[in-house]
Amino acid sequence: MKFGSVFYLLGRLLLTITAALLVPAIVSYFHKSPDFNAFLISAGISGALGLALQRWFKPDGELQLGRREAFVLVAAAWGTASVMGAVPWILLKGPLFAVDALFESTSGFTTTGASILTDIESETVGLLLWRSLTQWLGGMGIIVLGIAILPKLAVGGMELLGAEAPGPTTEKLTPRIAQTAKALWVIYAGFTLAEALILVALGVDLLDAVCHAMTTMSTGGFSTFNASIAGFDSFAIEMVIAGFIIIGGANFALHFQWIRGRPGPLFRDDEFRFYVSLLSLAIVLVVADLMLNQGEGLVGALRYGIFQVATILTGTGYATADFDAWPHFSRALLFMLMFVGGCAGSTTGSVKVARWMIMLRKIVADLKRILRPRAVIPVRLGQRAVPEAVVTSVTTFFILFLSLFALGGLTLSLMGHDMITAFSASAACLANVGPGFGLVGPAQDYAFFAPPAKLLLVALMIIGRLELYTILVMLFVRPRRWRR
Amino acid sequence: MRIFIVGAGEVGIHIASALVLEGHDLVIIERDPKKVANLQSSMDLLAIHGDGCNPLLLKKHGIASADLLFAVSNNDAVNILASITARGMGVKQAVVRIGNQEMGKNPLVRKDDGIVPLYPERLVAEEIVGLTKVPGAGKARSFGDGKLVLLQARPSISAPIYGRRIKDVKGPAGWILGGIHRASGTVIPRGDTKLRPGDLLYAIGPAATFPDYLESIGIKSETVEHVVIAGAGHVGLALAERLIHQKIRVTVIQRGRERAFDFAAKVPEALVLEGNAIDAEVLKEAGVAEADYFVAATQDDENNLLASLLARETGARVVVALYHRPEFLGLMQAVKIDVPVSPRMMIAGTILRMVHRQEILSMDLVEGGDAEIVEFKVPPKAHVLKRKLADLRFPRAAIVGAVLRGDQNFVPGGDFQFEEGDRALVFTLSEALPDLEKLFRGR
Repeated sequence: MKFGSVFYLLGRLLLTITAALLVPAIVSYFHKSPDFNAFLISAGISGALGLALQRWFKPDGELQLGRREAFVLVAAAWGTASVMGAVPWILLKGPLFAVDALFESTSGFTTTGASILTDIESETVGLLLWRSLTQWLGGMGIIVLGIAILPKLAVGGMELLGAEAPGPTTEKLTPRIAQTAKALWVIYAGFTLAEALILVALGVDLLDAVCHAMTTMSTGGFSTFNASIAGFDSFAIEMVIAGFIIIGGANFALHFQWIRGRPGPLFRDDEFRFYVSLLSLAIVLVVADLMLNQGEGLVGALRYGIFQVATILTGTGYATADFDAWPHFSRALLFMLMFVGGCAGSTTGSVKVARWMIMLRKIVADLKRILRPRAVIPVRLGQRAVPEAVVTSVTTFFILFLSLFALGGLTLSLMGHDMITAFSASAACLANVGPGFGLVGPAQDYAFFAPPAKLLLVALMIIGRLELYTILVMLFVRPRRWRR
Repeated sequence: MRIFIVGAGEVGIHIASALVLEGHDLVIIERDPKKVANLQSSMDLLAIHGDGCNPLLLKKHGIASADLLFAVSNNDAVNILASITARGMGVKQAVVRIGNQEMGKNPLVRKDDGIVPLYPERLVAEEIVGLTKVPGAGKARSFGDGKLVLLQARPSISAPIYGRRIKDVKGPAGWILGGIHRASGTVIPRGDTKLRPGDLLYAIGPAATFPDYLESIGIKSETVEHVVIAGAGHVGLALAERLIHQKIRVTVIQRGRERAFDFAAKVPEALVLEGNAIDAEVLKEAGVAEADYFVAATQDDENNLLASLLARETGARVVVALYHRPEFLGLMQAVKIDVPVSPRMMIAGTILRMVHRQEILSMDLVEGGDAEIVEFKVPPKAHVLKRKLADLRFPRAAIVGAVLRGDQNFVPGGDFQFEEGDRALVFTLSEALPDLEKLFRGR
């Protein structure tokens, strides 16, 4: 086990977080906000730790990481970021706020968007910016994780998802992870900038525009308003944000292609087409339900239907309406959409469209095989036949996902919460959506949970964010072997 | 001619033995020293132990002044490299045997550059696909952009043709009987020849009316809808792709999960079953009972033979079996396998055609090897231009089956007059070939 490289890289991550912490510090300074000192001290702590790690641990050789090291690094990276991100909150609100701070910070870095804040608008400028920034940074991490790292580690079928998308790596243009990452980050930052500019053009305050752009592209869902996107009360702004949510839910490797002037791969991509079809179908169903069972007009139904379907399916978690008060079918459908997620290689969490496609096609293949038991019917994704080992891995992923969801829901029920609240909170955190139903509905928050429940949800957020296996694999490897 | 052969496998040896008899100067390069020793002692040729891709070896034995190189080893990469090397060193033409079709996409393998790719599996596949286009026939080949078709077929026992003279049997218009293969040898039919039960007939005629011809010899032609292929190798793949292209339903049987999966991954339209083709249950599941064709295309001759027998018992309408070892032809004919196909004979036939000056078409079509079907192109000032067909001293052991002129085709009668540029399809016993060559030679 080459801990040297892992700690060295964690040091580098802390230095990046230091730089990020300086952003709210600067903004606070100009806004004369009381949280200026907290951010400056946090940056100091983070910077000192980062430098110390870089000084104490020299990378082994050329920073080559083995499988084990890569798993440890990924898990430790999100853990470190989440803890470090909580520091400014604790400095401002005292040690009693520690669990809440960790929850909020983890919800940020995992791009979940679940919040323990009851009155968001009363928070200081720096903190509001910092929450959004954590989601934006988390999104950056996820893109690289999903496109460049997890495919190499062959986690839950990710090796296929990564290979299927005609990503920058197949271009021979950017063969190394660092270069791939930079190319994708430019696109990610570009979209964020574009959205922020459009929002400003639509009359949104600069800080709000930037915060929302950051939490849209990361499909995170933190807002600077208590009422979330409904706070803007603008049809145009809602549609712009919905559009960018849908972009954020698509594979960034495909974005890379069409931005370089080749839209072909995007429209030919099996997963993208399925994703768009699924979005369209869900929108039609919700719109119809809203019109028939809630007496909503067509325009209103479309406005709320499009936005809410996009935001829940991709696990963003913004709200333009209290969808928990919608008719039964729409509520149930939105709950189910939490288990979908966006495309592989996007910033979304949950099961992901490609895994659903593989499982649905596996069902069809198995049904056909009942008539001809000897038939060999490969599951296809795009032009490729999915290797049987990957199909198994995807199935296991799904079962694991459901098991964790059930375990989370049961534990929360045991802690005295009602079924809808317990299970929707479990799903919303595991799938990195944010708001759920019942007491954690879009008009509510997660503040009322007891600290153990909050810690459980923090664990679900991280496990869900890192494609389950990345964290769970730690349980099954004895430390002795890790040391090796 | 000085001819190089790389690889003394089945194909290499077969070509070598045919070419040696024709008096060519042969150099054969083989990696296995045992095979080299065997060849050297059994045939009149130069057998060399070594690597066919080795430029120094090629140079040493005079590749620069050689006319042809056949790279026919079992390794595509070796074949491609050997032919490119030889071509670069001055051989006039290189023929490269390629098994994996994707390897043939190599940009250096180009007919125009004198490197001719040859796909044995593709040849076999095309042969079998040709059959499915004329269901009922044993072998088929089309000419003249598909307007004419040459069919080999065994008439039904109940057909009203036996014991009658050919000139008294009324066939459909435009069809001409060119050859009869019987146990005693091949016969070029005359008007007074009588047909006997068991005769294998070679006839040529308009492709559009082949069902009429088959009906006249008592064979009912049904369209092909479903083909079952045993063996997912190169032949199986090439065949399945072509059949699917013609909207024919294909079921493939392959042993071993991995190979079955790979095939299913490549050909999504085919139904692939994992199992053994000599297992009756597997054949039943594949729907052999209702299948129009069953093709045994595994690497293993015994397996093919057994699978075909089992398939026929199960109810397959026409059974095709691949064989590699020559002795299996007799066995397969003895147990009445409808169409035995030898990839090795096919590739050898194609290769020998390249050596011969004229186009000998598909010499593998004629069983027994004592007859050939040859396409002659009439050059300027040829003997055949001088007189009408009846007045030419045309060999009795040969018959003109059809003549292609531009986009027209004729069944030539006695007063037919050849024109320059005509292409004549001639059925001939091998003994008459030299006389024919004289007739069709320009001056």
